[in-house]
Amino acid sequence: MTRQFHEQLTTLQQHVVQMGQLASTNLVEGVRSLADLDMALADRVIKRDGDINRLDVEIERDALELLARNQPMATDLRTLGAILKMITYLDRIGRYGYDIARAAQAMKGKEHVRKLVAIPHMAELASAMLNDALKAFETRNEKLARGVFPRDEVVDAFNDQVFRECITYMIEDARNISTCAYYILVSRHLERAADNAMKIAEKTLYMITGERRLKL
Amino acid sequence: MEPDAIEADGLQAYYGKTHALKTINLRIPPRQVTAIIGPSGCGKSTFLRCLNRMNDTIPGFRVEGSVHIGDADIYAKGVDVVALRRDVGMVFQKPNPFPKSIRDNVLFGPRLHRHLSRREQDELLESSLRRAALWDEVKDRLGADAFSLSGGQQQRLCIARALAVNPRILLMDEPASALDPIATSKIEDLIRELREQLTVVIVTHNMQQAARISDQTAYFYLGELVEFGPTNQIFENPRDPRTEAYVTGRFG
Repeated sequence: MTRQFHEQLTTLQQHVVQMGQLASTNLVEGVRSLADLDMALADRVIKRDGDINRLDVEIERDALELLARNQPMATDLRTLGAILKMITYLDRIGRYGYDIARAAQAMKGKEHVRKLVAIPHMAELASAMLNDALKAFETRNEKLARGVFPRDEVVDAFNDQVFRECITYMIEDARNISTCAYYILVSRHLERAADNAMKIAEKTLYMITGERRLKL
Repeated sequence: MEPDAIEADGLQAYYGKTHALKTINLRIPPRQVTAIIGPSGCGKSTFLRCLNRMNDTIPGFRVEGSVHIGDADIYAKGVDVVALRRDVGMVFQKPNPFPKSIRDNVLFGPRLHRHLSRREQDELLESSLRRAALWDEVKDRLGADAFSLSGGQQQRLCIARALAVNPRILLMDEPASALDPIATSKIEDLIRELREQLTVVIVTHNMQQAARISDQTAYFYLGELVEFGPTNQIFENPRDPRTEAYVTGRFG
């Protein structure tokens, strides 16, 4: 009975990691579809969002079933508590990828104001944060989870930078306004994605140590 | 702050050569529910029974160290064990009503200790049955045989009987393990209510039950007290890996 529960819990953790990998891919490819204005890639990202969504529903269902059937305690309880919150964060990250791919579709036939640099870099930073948080979750690595926290500020700083830059382009030439409005939105999505990656690291830390990290 | 209700210091217990409790230091706070959990044979029932000297009559049993209840060392010479058990009541795994009426069961203890007028008896009967959440179910048949009650009702009758002598502490040894889920939930509700009036110490094999009803939890293993702390901590984030292994079922 207990052995079966622990096997099911391990399987569920693997599903969370799979969901996380899909969300991470969606973020990176969403931005790539925008940077390259690659409509086929944008389509794939949009389709993948449905898979992420399905995993969210399935993992939640399975986690609740494990809770109801086994009334787990201690680290098992914390793992299920962490999973139930993490899948919401992962679903949102996947959704940001979707939103960015939609922005790419909206820019079909247009040109970039300038080659995108900061935005792809933000996507790399956010997905690296997410990948480390997932790795920490998978391997119960406290140090790796803690290492994610300070990196959120870097993404925040890039978001501010993109915003200022876009304002400059919009002042320079009113024809840049609609494209720059997309950049500002996309940059904001990436900033939020990094935030959610940090929350996943927080839940991972809670799962490992029981420590609840408060915002200062 | 109120002084601890029960204070065990360096308590050792032996059944002949078997060392059943090893240097137990435990302070049980008053007017709270303290649960004792642990695998079979870990010493939890032995510990509970040490708190009102129920082990005394077992041949070869002896204790070292001390147990204080209030200010009194209950293992000191000259302690009146009958008075101790009036102060520290006990409820067992299997309901054990006397083969008497409901009324006589409840009033059995008080009548031993003092003379009561008919009115005092009626009042005590009603208040004890009410405290045990049984009054409404039996008020019209107080003269009926206790064995005519269901198992859950019999257990609440035993609790009413224990409460009738107005103890400060109630010890419960797996009080719901022989009951169905509905009777169990009534007993659990009752325990939560009783903590406002007295100190409850409960031994249970059912971890979820300990998690539901207790304020403090003690984990015993191989005669040792491994961990004692607030119940939410013991079940959410235990400090000792042995407790962790037990509560998550990764045991042995």
